[in-house]
Amino acid sequence: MEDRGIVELYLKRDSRAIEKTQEKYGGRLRELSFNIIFDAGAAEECENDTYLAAWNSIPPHEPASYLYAFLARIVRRLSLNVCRNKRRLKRGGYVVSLSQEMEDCIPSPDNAQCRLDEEELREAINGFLATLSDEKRNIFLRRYWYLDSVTSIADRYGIGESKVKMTLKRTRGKLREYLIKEGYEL
Amino acid sequence: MRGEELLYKLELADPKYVMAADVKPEITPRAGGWRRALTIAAAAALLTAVCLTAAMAMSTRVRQKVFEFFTGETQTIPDSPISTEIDRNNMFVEPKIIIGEMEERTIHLPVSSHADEGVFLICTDPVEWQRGSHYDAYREEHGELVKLPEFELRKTATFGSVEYDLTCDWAPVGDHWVMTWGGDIELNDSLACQSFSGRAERALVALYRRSSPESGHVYPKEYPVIINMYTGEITDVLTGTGAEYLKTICSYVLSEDERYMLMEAQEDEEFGYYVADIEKKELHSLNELSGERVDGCSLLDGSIACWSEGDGLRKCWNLRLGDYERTEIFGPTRCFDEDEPEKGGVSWIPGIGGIVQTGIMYHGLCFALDIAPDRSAVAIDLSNGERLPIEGFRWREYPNDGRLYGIQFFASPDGKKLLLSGLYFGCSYDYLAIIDFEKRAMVEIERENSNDYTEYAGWFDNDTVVIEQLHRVGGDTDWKNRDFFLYSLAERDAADKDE
Repeated sequence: MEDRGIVELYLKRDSRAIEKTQEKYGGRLRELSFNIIFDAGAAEECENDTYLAAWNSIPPHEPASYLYAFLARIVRRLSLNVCRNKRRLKRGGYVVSLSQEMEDCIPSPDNAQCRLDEEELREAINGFLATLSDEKRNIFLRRYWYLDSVTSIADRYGIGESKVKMTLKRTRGKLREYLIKEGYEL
Repeated sequence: MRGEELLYKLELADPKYVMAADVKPEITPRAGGWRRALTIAAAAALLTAVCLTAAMAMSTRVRQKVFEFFTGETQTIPDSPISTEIDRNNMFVEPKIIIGEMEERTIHLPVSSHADEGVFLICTDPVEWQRGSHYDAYREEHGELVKLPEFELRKTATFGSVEYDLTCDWAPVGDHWVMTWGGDIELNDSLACQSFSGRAERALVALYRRSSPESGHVYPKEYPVIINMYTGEITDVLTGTGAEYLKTICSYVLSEDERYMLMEAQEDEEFGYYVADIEKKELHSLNELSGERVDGCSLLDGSIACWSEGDGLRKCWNLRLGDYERTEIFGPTRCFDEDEPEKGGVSWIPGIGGIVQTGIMYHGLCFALDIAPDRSAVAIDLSNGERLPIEGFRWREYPNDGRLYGIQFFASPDGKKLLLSGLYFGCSYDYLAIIDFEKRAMVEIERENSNDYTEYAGWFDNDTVVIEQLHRVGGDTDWKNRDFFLYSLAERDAADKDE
């Protein structure tokens, strides 16, 4: 079924929406969650919670043209929460280390709340992503959006791990420079 | 804002970018033929290298312009984070101190430094550092930083039907070697190698093997070979074993007698573990040798330790190299869950490919840790199943204060020691413990939990842990200097003998 049709089922409050979503995207969502949590049971829970969250948020949202990205965003957030709350050894440490990598991007990391509201932050992130080549943007998002390992990114794009690491390092530096240059205060 | 929040907030990325990044790329050979492309790339790289070399002799400003011309991008040299002047007075070693059972050494270096493979790599030229190019290698000897002699490998070598530019600067370090420059991987398509340690005369190195229509390989891959770093002579140990047909080889370790190579690799869609018998020219899947799925493995002296996990249980067996006779090490045992330490169990075992150790040949952990409900532990020797109590071991409880906390495991390159490290996100490590399996002992270091530092832990060599520390001043990272803290048990033993 096309995404538009699935979203229409949600809008009509037809419970087949969840069935169709699971049919089309269940595997990918579970895989994404598992990639973050490394726990099959917890990933399945996150997948199910994602359907519930989608049910509760469509409407008002109508993500007909980006349904997978919409669902993936939910499952990503839920999975990160699981990592944070359960403090699982391997993935807890992994999320900590990814968070520390992200620290390189922030002009003045501190404990204060973000000084930008969500809309400004969205603008800053997407403004920066627009400046990147497709390859660099994809590598950056695979690492920090999909939380892929360096090895799996290298495999995915058929490049060496060193190139992935170097690209990520430079992209983090560029994000930091971009935020300073554009006057964003995080 | 902190990095953790930014990681969360990246969810605000435009869905079109997120979906584009989820599309699996189709990697095809370059239009116009890979040979021509390689030749053009090599010529361009040579021309660029000549001009960049000339530029190195010029002023920083002229260098910057030359880089811009040849790379097509603006090369900015900011005052921060990289200082344009390296303050050599800030390169020094503090007197070593003993903390409990451990010796601590502190080395202050410029920010453009790394600690790896037993040496400190320091780049004193800001332009070179920006390009990720050349480093000088230093070793700490008796409280002094001593610069190591360096060698160049500049050679074109034909391997299979592909011509490689072997371009590398390196320094010998004791019985192994370290790469100090491997070319700019973004500029140079024909970059050939990545260090994976060993003696300089018999160095295990990965060639980046590009795709070619003749080979039938779509994906370029890292292909491990042995190189004599002095002469550039390549010894292809895998061809004829069948390993050359593996789609991707992502981790590899060579036995000391160079007869066996243990690899994590992809044959079809699935990744798995393989052992190549270099003398007999055979390749075996560990799944097939074991008769069941292998989830991880370590290369031991004369055998391979294999383990599998499922339904919350972990079991382990051993395959003798040569005849691959199987011996059970431990049967299905509960996997240790950090959220339920009171139930005990066997903790995670970092096998080959399980940690990121650039440049160090990593064998995988040789022992498993069986943690009892009372938080004490025994080590299980994965070569024979012998159970060895670990004196002083107490599993650290997670702090229960609602903050994100992680405990990480890092095995030493030889797999005979384990570093447990704990930290709150965005803080310095507040806990370090080294388990020395052969000595059956664990030593803890309680460290300050401070918001003033960002730290990264790892192994400096087989006996020494390194903590890399960046300071924060007023909530901002101080990018001028970097401190390295080295902790070791071995030096303490030496000191004891002296006493």
